[in-house]
Amino acid sequence: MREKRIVNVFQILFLLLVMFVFLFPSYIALLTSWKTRIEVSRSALSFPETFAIQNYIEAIRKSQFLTALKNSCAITFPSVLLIVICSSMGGYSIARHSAKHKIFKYLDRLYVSSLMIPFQILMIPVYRMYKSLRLLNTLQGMVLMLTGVSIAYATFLYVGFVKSIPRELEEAALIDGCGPYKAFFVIVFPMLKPITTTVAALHVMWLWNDFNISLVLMQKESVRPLTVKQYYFFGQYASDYGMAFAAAILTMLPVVIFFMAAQKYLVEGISGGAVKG
Amino acid sequence: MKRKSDWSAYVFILPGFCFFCFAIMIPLVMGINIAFTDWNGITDTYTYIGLKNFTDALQDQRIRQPILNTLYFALLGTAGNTMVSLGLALLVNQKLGKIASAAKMIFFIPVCFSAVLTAFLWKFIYRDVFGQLFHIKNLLGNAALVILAIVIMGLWNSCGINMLVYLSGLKNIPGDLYEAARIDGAGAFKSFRYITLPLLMPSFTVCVTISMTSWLKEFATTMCSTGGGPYGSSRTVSLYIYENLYDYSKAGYGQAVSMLFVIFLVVLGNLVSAFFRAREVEA
Amino acid sequence: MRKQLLKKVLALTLTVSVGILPLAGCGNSGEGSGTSGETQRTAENAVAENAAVENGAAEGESSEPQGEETQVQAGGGETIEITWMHKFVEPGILKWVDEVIANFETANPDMKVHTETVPADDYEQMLKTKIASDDAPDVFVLDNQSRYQEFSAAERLYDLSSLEGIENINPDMLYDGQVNGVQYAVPLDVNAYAVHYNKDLFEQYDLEVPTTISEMRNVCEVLQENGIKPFGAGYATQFCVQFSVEVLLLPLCMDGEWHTNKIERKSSFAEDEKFKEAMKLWDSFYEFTGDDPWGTDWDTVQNQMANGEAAMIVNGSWTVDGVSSINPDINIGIFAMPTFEEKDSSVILMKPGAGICLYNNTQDEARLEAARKFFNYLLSEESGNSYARNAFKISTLKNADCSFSPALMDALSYPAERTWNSAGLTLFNSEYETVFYDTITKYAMQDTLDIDALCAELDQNFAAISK
Repeated sequence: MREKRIVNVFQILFLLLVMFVFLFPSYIALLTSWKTRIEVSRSALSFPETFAIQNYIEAIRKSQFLTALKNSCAITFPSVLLIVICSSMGGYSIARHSAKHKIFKYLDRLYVSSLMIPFQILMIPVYRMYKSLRLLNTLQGMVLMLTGVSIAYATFLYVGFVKSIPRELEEAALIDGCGPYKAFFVIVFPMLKPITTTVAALHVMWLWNDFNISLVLMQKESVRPLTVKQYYFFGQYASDYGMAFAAAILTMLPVVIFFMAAQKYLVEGISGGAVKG
Repeated sequence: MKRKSDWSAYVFILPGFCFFCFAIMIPLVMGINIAFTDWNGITDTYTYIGLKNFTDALQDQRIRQPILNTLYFALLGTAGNTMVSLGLALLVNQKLGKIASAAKMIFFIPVCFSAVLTAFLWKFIYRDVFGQLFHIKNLLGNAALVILAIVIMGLWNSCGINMLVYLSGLKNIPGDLYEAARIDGAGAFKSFRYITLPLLMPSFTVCVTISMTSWLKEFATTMCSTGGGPYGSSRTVSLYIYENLYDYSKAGYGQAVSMLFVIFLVVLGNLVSAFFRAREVEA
Repeated sequence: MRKQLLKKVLALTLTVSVGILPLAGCGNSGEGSGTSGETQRTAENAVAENAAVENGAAEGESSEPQGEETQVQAGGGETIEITWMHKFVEPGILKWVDEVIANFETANPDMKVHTETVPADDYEQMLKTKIASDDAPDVFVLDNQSRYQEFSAAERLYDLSSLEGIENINPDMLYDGQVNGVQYAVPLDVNAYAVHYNKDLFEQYDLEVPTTISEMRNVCEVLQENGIKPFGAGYATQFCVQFSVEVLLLPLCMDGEWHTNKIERKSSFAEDEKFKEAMKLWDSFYEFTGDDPWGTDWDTVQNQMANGEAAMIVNGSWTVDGVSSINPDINIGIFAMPTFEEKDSSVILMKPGAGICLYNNTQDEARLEAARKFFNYLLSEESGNSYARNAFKISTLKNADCSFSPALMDALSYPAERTWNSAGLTLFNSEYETVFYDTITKYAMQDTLDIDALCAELDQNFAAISK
């Protein structure tokens, strides 16, 4: 017993050390955001002399924070909803039917392959397409694009997970006369909670932080999301790191809060998945 | 009866597939023809030059360094990511109470930083903070260590996600298997090797494939932190393609290189995922 | 059974409507060429509450009733919208942008100017993407002569020779922006590339402005002995390496054909004695660049000069604004980097900055007209002086006034024989520049600079660049 406790202590110490290492950069970002420009130029590690809240105020003002926040929300959440619905259905179908019908296997392969495509080569055609469809600088246009580029990975995740769910339950339902759609939405989908939470959390994060696509498709200041706006604070030759980090932290705050709230469900979801059949 | 359920299978994949085609397949096909032209990205017209861009690419001397760099990135990045994420997951999986949940949170927060932000933050850290703390020169200015430095940034940024995937996989392993093993006298090491690893294969499929291909495509973090320097020692293939497309006004050539690159990645990605999928043990 | 059917219908409707969604977003396929100034009506509603619009220019759409699109064809009373795409981030320049737009719009109520700001790293990409998609901005910025050549060859630039405002600009500077005698771009400012120094530190150690190589070395040694870093060298940022080499190379080579000869392989590096001399000179000052020049970047170097750690920076005259905005109390002066041993022989480099161009819009006469008018206004004295004042730069106006900055006055005080103006010369284009400085960096980072090996590899690498 005593042995176990000693090992535990070591594990805890080690864990604390690793936590410290991981936390350190974020701490630096937070610290710097409270410093004035000249404080930053003098020393990176020093504690701020006064809490330069003007960094935050300036950042909010210059980036038109509320509008940008609204834009970020408007493009992130609808996309994640669409992604979850479409990929769960798609992943389910591929996982269940790949063995019998080759076409699903090819689709799975296609999705995996598409993950290798770097965005630069799609940029000009996408821009042209959006221009002719008049979707440039529109929030709907962004939602379509963000959903489209995320389907492949999300489906990939669902495929793996669905395979680990035994077929018996839904087959029983089908035999009982339940339709395939009902079988999916009523029986299978609830069992997908763990992976759905993971997919949703990941994509909220990624889409919120999306930069390249927003840069290309959204050029009007009024529709730009937070990530693009805060990039300007890290202007190429004119960095005021204090304000830049303040802007960055403001941008990240919604996601961090979201994740903290969703954490509970993530934990439940993950351990819930272990207790099945 | 059977026909109805067949239909449903296709209906299920349709919406996702539509979005996918719209965002990826159609632009891809639209852009392919450029690779066969001499377009410089600015003019209205271009001429078709057949396979010249492709043969040039295969003989291009300037592409060798980026290829080597990219492979090095992928190797370090994937190995690092697997070890660190798995390590974190194992660590957090121990019954250490509240600290474990706090740890999970802390390991995941870096994921909330975008690639660009990570690059700026770590640039600042390598430049000013490490200089003050450890009195070492900026790692990003060191040609031999720059790739390692960037990999560290990337690991900090992405291990949180893979940690969750491994964690999810670990929780799915029935506890009785470990019980049985302990009763049979197996130590921690053995139970890890014969129980944990095989049953964790689905997680490996996801994590290794994604990690590897994403490091091979490495672009944003490197572009922001070093721009490919010093003297090209961190220039990746994606960066080289970007430079050709937009900087050197060789759009046709850039497109051809990226097509070859995509083909290579697709082949590699499929091989790797097939490798792991075959070893997956269904519960 | 009924429920089954219903579900199926629902599913099909869902998928079909999802497919149609992108097309539904279009509304009427419009008249006229799509302009980037138009936004979707539904998007307008979503962001209608947006009050804080930059530049004070109201978005044309929000004042229009739903269901109408902005007419693009010239017609009485309709607003014409033009776009100005740039990558300026300095607050001073942005102030100028706001000022000129406000003034122009007041004078021309039927025209509106929208700006599109893109980060410098992505600028070329965005510009080319937009042009390739028939969405070119009306007014934009291009970096240098090689870009003007590229774009004019592709017939994307409008011939500016006929604009009246051109008369306000210093004719010596106008060479930059001319291709085959035709004016395609107008540089906004001129930058001096020289040594920026901290006057107070020089006074403190009794140092005079050096004009010979030995005097320069002496200054560096005194500073170094007293614990001050002589040169703040931000070699982690490519242009810092570039300009530190150029201030030595160009005066020594003094030859407008130097770059072209190297590109066309008419002259080799191995046989270029002047190049070798320049590199030797560069190397001789390396010991004064501190202990980690390759790990220090441009931001840090400005900080170092601002807080007195470093006494001098060799770079373009935007340094004055950069350092002063960190430390407003600093006294900066400029002197030319010495490259010869004769007294008072040092040469200052002047290079026109980025140029503004007008897109050659062959499809929309009205927009082209409006853009011409706006461009003309940009060339006016009012605009030029506003630029100089706000951006702290040397404007390209004929009677450029720099009295607000003693440092810039220093730069302008050199007589013509000691000024090397690169207006109109083609320097290296992007690919050659990258290869050139990458190779130099590689050898410069070794313990000793092996000049012969450097030249050999430069020749090899230049030859390998495919056309």
